[in-house]
Amino acid sequence: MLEVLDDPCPPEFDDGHRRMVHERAAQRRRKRQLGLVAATVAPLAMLLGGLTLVSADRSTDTPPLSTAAATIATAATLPEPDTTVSATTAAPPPELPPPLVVGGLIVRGAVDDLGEAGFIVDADPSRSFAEMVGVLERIASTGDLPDAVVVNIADNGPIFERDVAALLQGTLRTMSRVVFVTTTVGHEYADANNELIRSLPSQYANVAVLDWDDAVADCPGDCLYPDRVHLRPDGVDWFTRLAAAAIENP
Amino acid sequence: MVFDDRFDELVGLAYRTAFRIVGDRGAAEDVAQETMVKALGHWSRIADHARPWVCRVAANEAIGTVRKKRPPPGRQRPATDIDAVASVRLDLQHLLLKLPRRQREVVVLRFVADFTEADVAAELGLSVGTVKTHARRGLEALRAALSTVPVEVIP
Repeated sequence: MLEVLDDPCPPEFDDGHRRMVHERAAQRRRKRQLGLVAATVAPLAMLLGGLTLVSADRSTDTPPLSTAAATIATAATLPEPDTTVSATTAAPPPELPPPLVVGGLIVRGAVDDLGEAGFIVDADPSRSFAEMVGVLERIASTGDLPDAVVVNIADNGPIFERDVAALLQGTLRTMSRVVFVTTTVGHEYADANNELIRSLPSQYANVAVLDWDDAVADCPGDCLYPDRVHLRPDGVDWFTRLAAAAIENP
Repeated sequence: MVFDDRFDELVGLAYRTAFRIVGDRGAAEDVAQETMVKALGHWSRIADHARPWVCRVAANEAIGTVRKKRPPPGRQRPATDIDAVASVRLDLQHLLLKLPRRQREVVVLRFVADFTEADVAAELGLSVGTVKTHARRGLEALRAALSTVPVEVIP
């Protein structure tokens, strides 16, 4: 028999439980609103001459405003800071810059949560692999490339081994950790992209794989829209947790 | 209908679904509460299909809880720790962890949460025929995994 045994004496859920649910839901709303406020503040800070990031702490539930602001402050769509004006330094610089996430539509949908988790995010839903390489090269040319990066670019066209090799042996060669993300997209190139990505750790010591195509099956909650690609809020949460774990657990 | 008016009904449903998977009151309570927090956050979008939504989310949360708590590969619990029922439950948990996502969702909604095939189809956006196919394949996997235990599914 398929055992689906019920609790013979289930607990009583009372008003205390109901209040707790409301309180926790409100906390999550406030957390998201904090991210939105940061998104508003960051461009103003940039216009004042640049904002030095003060923290990359990913261990707390409520990261500093400046960390969330970093999500926006580094986006390619923002104006370049006026380097003739002295930068406003709010605190001593961090020992290590926050890890970077570059990607397309998945990352775009998770930008707030990734920012709250301490990542710098650069996302464009229509970005090709070649365009992503250009973004990384531009960041590297300014000396702002962090020590770790999550690359989520397998869902917008085929990627080729020679291009990945050029990236890993060039711009990303000195990085301590590069995490490539597999894709759930239903296009014909997806399997080849995923196969290539899964083969990378055996060739490059600094490469790890976030196997999203596999891990999404374990996502708790209601995670994907019916296209099985775009993330619902639960999927954003799961992706963010996995990305943080992939960076933090070599 | 507003969230609070349906709280008692839905939290009980979430608890019952979770308990059937985790088999532990504390863990099932945690799953039920987390499920209700998510339900409140998404209420405007799920209110018209809250029961299957809550079941699905509670089941996924419960499976996630089982996954976190299960011992590493190669470390089996001593046989003296568990009785026959618990053993069957562990087998069911492990099976659920191994099923492909869509099969797992169908099996959980159909056989753990006791929804009709039509309700499962509506919740998952599938045809009834597809639900039947996933259910059959899931049960075949169940029979294979629990080959040492007589398997009988009560519709």
